[in-house]
Amino acid sequence: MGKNYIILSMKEKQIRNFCIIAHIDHGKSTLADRLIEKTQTVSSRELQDQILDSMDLERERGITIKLTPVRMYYTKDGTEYELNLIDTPGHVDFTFEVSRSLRACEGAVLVVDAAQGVEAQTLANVYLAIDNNLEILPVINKIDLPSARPEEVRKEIEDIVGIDASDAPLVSAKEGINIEQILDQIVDKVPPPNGDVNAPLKCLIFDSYYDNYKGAVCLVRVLDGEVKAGTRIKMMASDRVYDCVEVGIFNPKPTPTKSLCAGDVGYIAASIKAIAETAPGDTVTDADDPTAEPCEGYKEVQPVVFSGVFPVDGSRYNDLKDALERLKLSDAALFYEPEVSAALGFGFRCGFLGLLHMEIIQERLEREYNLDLITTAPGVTYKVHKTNGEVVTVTNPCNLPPATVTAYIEEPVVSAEIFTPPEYIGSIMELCQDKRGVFSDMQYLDSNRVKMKYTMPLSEIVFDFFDGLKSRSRGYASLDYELSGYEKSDMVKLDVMLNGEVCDALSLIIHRDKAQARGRALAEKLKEVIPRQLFEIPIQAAIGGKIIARETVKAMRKDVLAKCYGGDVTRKKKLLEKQKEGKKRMRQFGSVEIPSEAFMSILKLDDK
Amino acid sequence: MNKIGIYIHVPFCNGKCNYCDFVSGVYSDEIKAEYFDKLSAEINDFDFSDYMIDSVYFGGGTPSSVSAEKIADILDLLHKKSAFVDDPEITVECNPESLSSEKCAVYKSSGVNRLSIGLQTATDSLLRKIGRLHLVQDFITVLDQAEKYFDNISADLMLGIPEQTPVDVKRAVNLLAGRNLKHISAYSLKVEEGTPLAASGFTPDEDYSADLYEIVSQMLFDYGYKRYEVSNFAFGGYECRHNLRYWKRGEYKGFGLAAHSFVKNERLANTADFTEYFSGTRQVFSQYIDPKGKDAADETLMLALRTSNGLDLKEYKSSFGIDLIEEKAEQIELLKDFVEISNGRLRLKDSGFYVMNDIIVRLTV
Repeated sequence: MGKNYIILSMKEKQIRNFCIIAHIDHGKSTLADRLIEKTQTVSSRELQDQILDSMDLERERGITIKLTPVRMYYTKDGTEYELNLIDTPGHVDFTFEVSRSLRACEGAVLVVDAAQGVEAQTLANVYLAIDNNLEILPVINKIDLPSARPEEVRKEIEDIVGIDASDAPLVSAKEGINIEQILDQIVDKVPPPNGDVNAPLKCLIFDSYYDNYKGAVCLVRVLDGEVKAGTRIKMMASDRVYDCVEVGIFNPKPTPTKSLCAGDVGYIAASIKAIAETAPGDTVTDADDPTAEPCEGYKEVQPVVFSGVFPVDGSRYNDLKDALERLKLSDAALFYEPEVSAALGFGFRCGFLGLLHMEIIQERLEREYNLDLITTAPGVTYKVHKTNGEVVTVTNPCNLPPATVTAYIEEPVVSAEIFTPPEYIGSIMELCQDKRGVFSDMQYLDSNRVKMKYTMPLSEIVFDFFDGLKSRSRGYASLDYELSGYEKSDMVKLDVMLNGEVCDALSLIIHRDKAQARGRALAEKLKEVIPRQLFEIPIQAAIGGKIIARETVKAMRKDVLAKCYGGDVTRKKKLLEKQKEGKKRMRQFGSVEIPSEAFMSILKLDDK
Repeated sequence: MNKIGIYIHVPFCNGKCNYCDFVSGVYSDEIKAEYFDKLSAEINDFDFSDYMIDSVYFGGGTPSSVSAEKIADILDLLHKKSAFVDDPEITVECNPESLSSEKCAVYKSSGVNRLSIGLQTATDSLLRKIGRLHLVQDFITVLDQAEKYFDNISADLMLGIPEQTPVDVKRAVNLLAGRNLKHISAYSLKVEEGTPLAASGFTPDEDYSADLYEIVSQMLFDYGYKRYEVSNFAFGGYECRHNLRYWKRGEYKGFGLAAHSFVKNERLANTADFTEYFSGTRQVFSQYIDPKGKDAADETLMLALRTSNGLDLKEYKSSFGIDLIEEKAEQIELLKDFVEISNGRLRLKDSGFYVMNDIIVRLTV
């Protein structure tokens, strides 16, 4: 026993758990690759660029979504250290995931671009790290660039972030310059984990993923105690008990080990059926010798953007259900519940952390699960105060109480920060005003970078704001936002009627001032995308029964195979078969057939 | 013995019209000679013992572009091989530039009793535009000659030719109906891939084609013609039997390049490739259609709705076990502006003929 204790405690001192914080294009993934290469965690032949971004989607977008920890070994002054790199997602939608991974670390490498300097978006994550008592190690990257100004940037870090940057390494991840300095500082400056290996087991789940053979696998930071195959483990939030089958580390591929001890970062597999049972933020303990208190900070994430998701082929409802269940296993932030639409049939109302999260989920459903989807216009959560004093939250426009029983409606607002070169200020201000934004502040960060602050309804950001921002700034402007609360607002329900019937999947909650223009744009777009049919189709947009726009899809006049040459019936049959197939892709709504694309095409509209 | 229709494909023309994607073209006399040898061989190899020939249709290409004796030889051969009904309908498709009194005389003596002449349009500038080899006057001249030999003459019209106006269409209808032709076909032009017309970038305006079709239909009704099929109009008793056989799912056997057949519940097609045909390969497609199956039911409905007679609902039910009135009640109600049920038959109304594809799909899906 005693001997065992000494070995483990020595080992503890040689562990360093850290993450990398960087602005989206400041070279985080390249730096991670370099660290892995330097510590020979994988042979250079195996080294694919940007190992950590394992999903195709992440590679294509150059962003990190899933957290993938990697263990590296580095020898300094004759001692071998175990360095655990815990990657963090870079996008605002995933702040919650960032905070989870931060709590598994003792240090953070802050990467700053030597040419661009400190970016405001990075600050939120830096402060999050400071709040979690992490040691911040600034690193100035891209010193190989001709425009690099490392000394100015060093000062900027001290002025803006407010930390000592006097011995921040000057590196080039791309060229592999001074990478050892970072590794040395991680060893010297990041404190070793301070858990007690003899205390009852206490692990923080900071992520989980689904493996076809092992079931739901938890990624954990062991705070106290030791876990190995055979340990009866318990999830403290759910009280469920499992037999641990395998523990291991990421090297960077999952590699089984004998045990994980206090301070370690690794995985636990316990034949857990569903991801939902491995909620990130939950605490794993020993069922037979439980820890007294779970890790703090476990909270249910709140989705802020909602959208209906339906299979194009209605018979694939169960496939969609399975796919969402699977995704939910590795993505605690995904919310979904069954929804039935008169126009779209059976599907789900899904909740997301933000627009990027929504896009990612939709893309994963389509790519990884091979589903064709129809998604309805994204919306937000409204608080409807009824005349009887009751307050209901509404995420689906179809559930909006009628105006007659509504006292007032509140909508979520965000404080938005827009960063842009100064030449685009004018047109961005116009866009923000158009999106009901209220200007609060503007600041020149330097001569070619301005920060504008707006208070803006979330629903406006959700509807086509990014594209507008990008097109008005030739792609230069960027946006960061966080929910700041709810405000009273004059919202109405905009309905679209096809052949006189309200098509539920097209309903929207929208500000009264914008309803007229949107209604017109919607009707015009639908006229374009709904093909002519046997019957004339009136398209109307209405607010509370009042028609505000009208278009008509004229009846089809010619749909005939005039000639059947020399008795070639087979050709005629083939053409009709094709038409039948086309019909199957249509949504039958009363006597109207709506192509699946129609529902998607209205997600991007020009209101003017 | 069952009645059968015979289709003979003559893939030769004096020139290729710019909208045409049929298996046809301009070929040497040697190739024509070899083709008719192989055609005769194919006819010789067919077992006619179960059949009586009810109709023969020489289509193309332009059957009138080859010597009339070749047509007569084929008819002789058919008579040698098979029994005929007492009053068979025997049609030859002709174009004005290659028809003559002499040819008519030979046709007549070999048993031909019906001509179908391609006029397409009665406006010279349009005829030139689409690459036809004749002018309006040529048509009138050959019609004068042909009427001396034949009572049963049909002419083809084409709707939706680039720059064709309602005036052009009316002129053509007046010309044909004014001559009391017994039968008139009116097809809307379809732009087929790979044709010079398609290459020119022309896309027909479907609404405009529909307008022209309505004009033609109404004029022909006023002249006393009946529409017995979506594209075919005739005086009573002059409906094309060979044509109707297709819509009634009667048996027919096609000989020659790219010819189609429906015999003994099989749909068959010949090769469209000369070399292949000359080397002895004929049939390249066959599909058995279960006479009680869904496929046969769909074919029956799809073909019957093309005709003004429509679909016999009782027969349909007893043949396929499908009670359309019951099973498609909702669709039939929805389609009430386009279809009607009377005397146990489901028929398209006038409004339904030109949009029948969607109606057929709704009733068979």
